[in-house]
Amino acid sequence: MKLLKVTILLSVLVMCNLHAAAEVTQRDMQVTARALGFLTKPFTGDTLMGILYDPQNARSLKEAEEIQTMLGSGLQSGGLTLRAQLVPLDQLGSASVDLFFLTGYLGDSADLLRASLATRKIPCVSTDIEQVRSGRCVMGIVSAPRVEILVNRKAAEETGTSFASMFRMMILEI
Amino acid sequence: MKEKYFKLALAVASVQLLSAKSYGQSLDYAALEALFEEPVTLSVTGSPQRASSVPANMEIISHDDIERSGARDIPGVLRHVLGVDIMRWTNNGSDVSIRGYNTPFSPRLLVLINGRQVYADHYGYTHWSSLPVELEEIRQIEVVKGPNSALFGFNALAGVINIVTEHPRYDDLNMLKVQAGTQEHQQITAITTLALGERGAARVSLGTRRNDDFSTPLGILDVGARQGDARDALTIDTHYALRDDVELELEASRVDVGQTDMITSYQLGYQEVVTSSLKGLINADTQFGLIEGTLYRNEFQKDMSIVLPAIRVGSGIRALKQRFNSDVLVGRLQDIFKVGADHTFRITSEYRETSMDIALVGGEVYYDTLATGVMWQWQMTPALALTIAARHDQLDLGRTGGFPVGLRLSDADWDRRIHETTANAGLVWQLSELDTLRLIAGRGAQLPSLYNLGGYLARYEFPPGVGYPFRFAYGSGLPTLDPSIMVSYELAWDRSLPALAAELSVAVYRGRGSDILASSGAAIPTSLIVLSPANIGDSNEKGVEISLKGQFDEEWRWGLSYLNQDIDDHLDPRYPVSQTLINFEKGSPQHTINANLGWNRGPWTVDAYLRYESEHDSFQALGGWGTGMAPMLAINGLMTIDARAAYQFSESVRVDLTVQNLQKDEERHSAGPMVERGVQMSLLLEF
Repeated sequence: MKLLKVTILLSVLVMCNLHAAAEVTQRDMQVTARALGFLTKPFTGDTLMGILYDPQNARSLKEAEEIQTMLGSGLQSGGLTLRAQLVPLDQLGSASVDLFFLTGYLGDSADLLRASLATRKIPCVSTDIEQVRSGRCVMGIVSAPRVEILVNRKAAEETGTSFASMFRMMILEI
Repeated sequence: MKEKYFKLALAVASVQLLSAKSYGQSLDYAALEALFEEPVTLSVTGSPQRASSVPANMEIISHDDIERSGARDIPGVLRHVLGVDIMRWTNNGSDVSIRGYNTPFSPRLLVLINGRQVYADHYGYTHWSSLPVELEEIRQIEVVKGPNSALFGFNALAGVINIVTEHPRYDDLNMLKVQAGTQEHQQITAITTLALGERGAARVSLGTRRNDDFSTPLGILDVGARQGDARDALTIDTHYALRDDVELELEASRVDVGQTDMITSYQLGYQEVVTSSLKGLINADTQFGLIEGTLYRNEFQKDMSIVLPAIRVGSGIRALKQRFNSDVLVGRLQDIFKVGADHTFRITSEYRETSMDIALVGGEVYYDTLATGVMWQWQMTPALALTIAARHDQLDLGRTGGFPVGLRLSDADWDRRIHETTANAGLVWQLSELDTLRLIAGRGAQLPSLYNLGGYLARYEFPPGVGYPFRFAYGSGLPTLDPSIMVSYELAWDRSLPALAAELSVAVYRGRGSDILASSGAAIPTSLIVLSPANIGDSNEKGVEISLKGQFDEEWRWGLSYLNQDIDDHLDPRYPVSQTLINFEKGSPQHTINANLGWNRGPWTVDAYLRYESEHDSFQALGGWGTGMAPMLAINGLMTIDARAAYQFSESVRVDLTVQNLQKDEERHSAGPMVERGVQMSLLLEF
């Protein structure tokens, strides 16, 4: 049953253009910033988001740089100002950030993430739904054609991330 | 009685205890709407949902839609929604129904403001002018078409309208509006939001209006019904965050209205209505879910002046002034929680006390209702969700005050318990990123009003020669009435049309109504009762709705929709239509078309709304209740146009010109007086 549900979920997400290599857009960033307002302990003020990328992968680096450009001097949403800091995968353990954003193209190299994020109790967000499905990342964001948010409950629990009940009732969880 | 209050207080207090280890906050419509890029609502399942995901046929009218509608009251706004029928009887008096079935004092639609019932239980209707809300403070109006009693209980038979106002903690609204126009119309609206430290805020809204009714000719029983209309309203809505995850709301309101209204005998009367309410609500996001406790009290006082015809009083007509007092106390506790990733539940318990004075004997008729309800939503797959809800109401009816000599009734006849179970189910399937399919079923119940359950007790005189064997007799409500039931099925399909930047919605529905209630139907001459309410039979409905709306060139927006409805009455021939004044089949238009076109460039905004209703019939009062003198008059197909032009001088200053009934100086909407064109100019200052 669980396998069937995951299969259907992936099918729907693919149908909605949510494949792993989906290009991150400004709209994705806006939805991310807004969604962060529904954590039970929401980020406020200057919030540093580490953009995790694979320095060995040019596409991953390019995407990270594009996201940094999108956020510019800070993306505002309510009381939150989201700022970006590029974080190579090998500096994951030492980066001093409030949350991580996983770029696409990380592939299996992101396996290191899960344990590290759980240890440091830092949540992560991604537009790469596969990263959420596999439990490497807590929250997946899709902004087009319709906003969809997917939360991995186990990953959330491991990183000590929790969301407002009303928010949970309006999103998809696995 | 004290024990009941204690239990209610205990239930509300327990919410605070449960929240001792809790997380979260109250529903922030603005933030959620910004996140999901569509309206959100609580009005279908009780749990927060995106408009596109609700298991119901629902329209959400946004603040912007309200502003651009050209309307100056809520029925005027609703007029532009497909499937909502508006009968404007007088300048300020309208009745609203869903998919036909409109009558004076329309009883089948439950209306709420922020979840608080403003439907008047005593007569089973909504007096729109006495609602404590100004158009400018409304965030959205949620219109649910079809039964929704499993969430809201009795009277959500044909639909629900929930009016959601701006939240003072999240929305800072400060404005002054001055409006003047035809029919000597003068209106001032002032709204301000006050901060209460860092954790609280209050919105204070004040509305005052003076105008006249139309000056079109009156019917023969409408003498004295026009005395000048007035409305004064004050609402204070306070929200305070006791903690980050616990919010307390206190709301108080009072509205004084005097206006010409159409009453159920299809004659005009002058009504002076005073409504007041007090509400306390506490909600908490806890480890056990979203827990909410609500306690509110509504008071409704109405003085109604009508005339009685010669057949009742012997010579000429006689003015009659009646007072109706009604109180409602509601306590509700609910918990909405999620189990696992896919299951959301809502458990509700509600206690309600409702009473109405019986002026003739100095007693009251009352009922206490205890209800429990449960809702289960199962996200079967990311694209498929099933919702099932059920509610059971147990109602205990009672009466005090005794009866005049000669009436063979006693208070003990009112010792009655009514059980009613209602249900809703809906399957929402996102077929593709463009298509959503909804399969909906519901069983709703309409409770007989307190008036019909015995609040109505009037003594009538019968002069010799009118063919009645007694010198006098009574009209009385009866305790034996049953709730009216509606069972409805609907299939709806929504499709996005990206190429047209438009949305298409198609719905087909079928419903079966049983035990239709009429305020006047039966006579029991041996008991000296010549007039009493009755369950008069069944009425079925079916229809098709097609709606298209979209935008182009960023400056233009448009909408076009069509409703074809067919109502088929099966009424008991023992109750002649001329007595009951119920004929839904002929009284509802078969075809309705709504269209709108709007344009916005720079400081200018212009909108026009057209509505067409095909020919239907309307009762014409010639003799008053029980006389059988109420023929139906054919009303020709009716097209009305409302429009608005606005110019924004600066961020804080705007001038609006609004017109209703633009197409003609005066137009026949019903067998009542003709409806005149209304034109208003307003100045809006925002701070």
